[in-house]
Amino acid sequence: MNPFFVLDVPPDADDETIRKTYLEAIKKAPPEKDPERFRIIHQAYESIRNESQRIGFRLFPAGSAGSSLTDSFLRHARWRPSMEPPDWETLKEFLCQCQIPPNQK
Amino acid sequence: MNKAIINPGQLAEQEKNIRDHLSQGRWRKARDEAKSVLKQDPGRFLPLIIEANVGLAREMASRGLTSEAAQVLTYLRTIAPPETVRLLEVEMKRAAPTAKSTTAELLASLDDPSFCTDASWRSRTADWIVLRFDFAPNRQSALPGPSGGEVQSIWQALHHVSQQQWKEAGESLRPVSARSPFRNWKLLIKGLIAYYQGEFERAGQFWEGIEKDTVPDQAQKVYRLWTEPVREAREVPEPHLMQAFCTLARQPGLAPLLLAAEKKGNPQNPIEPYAFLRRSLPAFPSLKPDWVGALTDFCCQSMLMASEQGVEQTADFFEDLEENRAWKSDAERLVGLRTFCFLYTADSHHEPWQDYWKSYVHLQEKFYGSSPRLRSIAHLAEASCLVFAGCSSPLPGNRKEQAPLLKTEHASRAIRLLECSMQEDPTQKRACQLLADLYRQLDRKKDLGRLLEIMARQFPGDKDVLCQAAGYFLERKAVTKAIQYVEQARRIDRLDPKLMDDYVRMHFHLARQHFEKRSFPKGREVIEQLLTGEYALATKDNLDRSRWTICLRRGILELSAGFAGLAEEWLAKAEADAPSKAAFLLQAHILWVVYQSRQGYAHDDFSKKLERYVQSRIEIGDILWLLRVYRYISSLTGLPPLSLAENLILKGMKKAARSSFSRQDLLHLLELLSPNHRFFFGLDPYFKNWLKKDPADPLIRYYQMRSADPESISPGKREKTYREILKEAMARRDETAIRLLENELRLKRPEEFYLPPPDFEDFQEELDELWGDGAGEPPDLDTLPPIPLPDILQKVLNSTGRELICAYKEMVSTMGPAEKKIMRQGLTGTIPKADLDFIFGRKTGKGQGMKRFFPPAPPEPPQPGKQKQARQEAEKEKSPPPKSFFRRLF
Repeated sequence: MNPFFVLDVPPDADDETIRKTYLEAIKKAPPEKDPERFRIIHQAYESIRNESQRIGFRLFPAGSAGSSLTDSFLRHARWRPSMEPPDWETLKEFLCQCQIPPNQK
Repeated sequence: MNKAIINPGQLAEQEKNIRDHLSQGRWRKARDEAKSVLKQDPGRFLPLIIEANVGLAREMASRGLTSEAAQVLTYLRTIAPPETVRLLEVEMKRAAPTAKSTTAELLASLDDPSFCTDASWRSRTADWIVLRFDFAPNRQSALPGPSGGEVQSIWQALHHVSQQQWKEAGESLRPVSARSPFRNWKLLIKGLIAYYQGEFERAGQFWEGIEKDTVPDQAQKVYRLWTEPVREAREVPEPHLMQAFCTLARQPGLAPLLLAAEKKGNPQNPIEPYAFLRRSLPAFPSLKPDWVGALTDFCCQSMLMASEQGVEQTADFFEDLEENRAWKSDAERLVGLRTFCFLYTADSHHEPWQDYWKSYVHLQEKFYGSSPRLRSIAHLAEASCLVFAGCSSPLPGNRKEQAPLLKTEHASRAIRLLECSMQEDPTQKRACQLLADLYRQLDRKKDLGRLLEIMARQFPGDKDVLCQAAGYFLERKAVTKAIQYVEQARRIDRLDPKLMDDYVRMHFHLARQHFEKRSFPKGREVIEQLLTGEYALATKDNLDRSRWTICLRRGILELSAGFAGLAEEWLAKAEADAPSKAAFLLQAHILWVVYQSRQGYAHDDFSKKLERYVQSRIEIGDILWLLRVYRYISSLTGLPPLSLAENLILKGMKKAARSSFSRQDLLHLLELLSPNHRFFFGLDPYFKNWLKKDPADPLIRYYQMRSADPESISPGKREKTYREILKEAMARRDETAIRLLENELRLKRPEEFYLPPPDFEDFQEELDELWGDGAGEPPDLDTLPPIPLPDILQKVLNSTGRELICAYKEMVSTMGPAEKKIMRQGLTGTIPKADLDFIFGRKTGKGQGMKRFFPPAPPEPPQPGKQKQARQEAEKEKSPPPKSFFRRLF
């Protein structure tokens, strides 16, 4: 996942901002509570902690982008769950899409 | 024709088949088979026919084939019980309803307890009614019966959820009872209220109670994608749930695009998904940290990790865009240029690669602002490419294993680039290090010295840099400066024993310089400091820092340049403290030779004494110490020839083999002498002597085989013997011997493999000559001498990787069309198609084709003695991981 997205910092953030955000993020996801989340946050921080790392990341955005396009999107979307319910029309559309198609029954 | 009467066994078999068809949803087949045996046992098969027809009618109705479903229903009315028919009638109305009256009928069927008691049917009907969403806020319910009120409550609650009115949503659910067919909806909504208030666990508890395969169940599955802990590898949800997920993530319509793009992708063709998304999504590709950026990252990574063919397709795709100036956006151009830099940096023969770097840096700076560091990295990447041109591996990380092979014009250009890199970013250590390596390679000692001093100033906390500087200045006899650097390095890591050894070693050099300048007090002071400080060790085995070796050095210094009287005193101290008299004499002799080398070689008493000692009373313990001293001395550089010492050691080994020794002693000797050591053959008498005591000892037998002359034993016989020894080792459970023998047997095979010449008739003739006229047994194939191969094939066999392809190309150029065809058939499937095209002279696409991977100038063939090494290098070369190339730049 994109480390700027993981840490929720703008692409032009400086070292200080990134470090501050990182410390806040690991406070919310300490390793003993959510080791996987902590690992991802730490990895993200390590890959953009200084200018050299950021250049390296832009040159080759290493890190696990996912096993497929769908997985890639899912990872991205799941990182920050939407905490605002959909509007009435979207909710209706969502629930209608939750019907199991006849060929899968 | 009368139908044959079927026996009961066959009927049971038939019934089983029909039930299988029913369970698999093969309604027509089940119906037809049941019909054929209905008359044999109507009571048994009629219910099966009814079930098959009900299934068929439901399937037709769900597909919208209402008139066909109605026909089946009409037939069912003649054979099925009325309640089954009534249920089906309601279901069919549910399947294709438009009228409001259908909802009312279905609600009535839910309110009628005698209508259908099947909970699953009731839940499905409830789902269907809810999903009609015949609801408007602030409108009173017009739906009949208790179920009508409940569905109205569900709609109301859902509406409150969408308005974030949590309390009202909860209140709305009150009328829905725990036994209601709408209870799954009630649980879903309660979970949603908890979820949106951040109580994920509580939400999960509500959702656990939902009946499987209902709409609320599917909805909670989508929500759980958010509430479950993030996992690395997770299964991608079913397509309809993915679609629902995308809707909830405010990206409706994305799911089909993703699924379609995924279907297009494979390792041979990674560009297709990219091209598809590029056409379908206006914002794609993106460098922003949003979901489009995530998809872009995935596509880029999969393109660069694809097969060779896939990588080539990627390059062609972007080359097209570059040629036609058809980039969709600057972001896409940046992605393309980055791909070019990545692909072509490992290939200096592809000319435009430098332009790509320049354009990439320019565009990157446009996006993220000026960055000297980026420019520095770009220069470093370009220089790395030049420096490692012609190496089997272009990766800078491999430089320690092999010196860079440089051409002069490349070297000067690389130096300029590295200097630019350092100028742009003085903290770019990799550029400094590469430049230092380059200076070393070119033997530009003054430049190297200046650079190392700059590096030591720039990276004062880097131990490696300081040690390099110390080593350089020691080599240049600037011992004081070297000591300063080692002291600086020691301040960084006081616990590094190697630094301590270096420190002591450098002080010996300093003392020697003082003695040579006849500044005896200073020289003596240096040695005494070593003896009194933390440096001298009471243990005997550290040949830099043990007390006896320090005393010995002092003694030899006194003897060679100081006062003989003092020398005797110190030598006596050293001898008394030495672990072995032989070790003392050998080291004294070597030190004498080293310290006297400037004045010319002079014979000394130590070697004579050692010779006498060897002839009279040498033992295995002495040999162990002699070998330790020799190993230590051999690790030092700039030594004069030590042939006398070597002869004495070999004599000693021979003599000591006659004395008694234990297996443990022999194992110690083997620890000191690997099979490749020049003295290893000297262990043969030890092996023989030991094997007299224990003839089957597998470990010693293994080493004896290793010490034997390779020419004296055929490979087949050798392998046979190894197998015998392995058997014995397994019987004795000698793990060390088992491991060594298994390795040996595994390694043997490729070395012994050789191919017959291409002309099979010649091969046959040679075999006939060897076997005579066919009488008697054919000889052991292992004893056959290698058959001389035509030069060109020999070249093919000796070459590997890139060379192999070039050698094949050369061979093919001498062939006629028919031979070429046969050759091509033979190679098809064994090497990539792109390589085949290269060998047989066909152009590959519009890109650079194989030129990108196989530069035109074939490298020199490996020297005969280095074939194995060359083979290993070629193995590395086959697929250089370009990813690590970039990683190593930072």
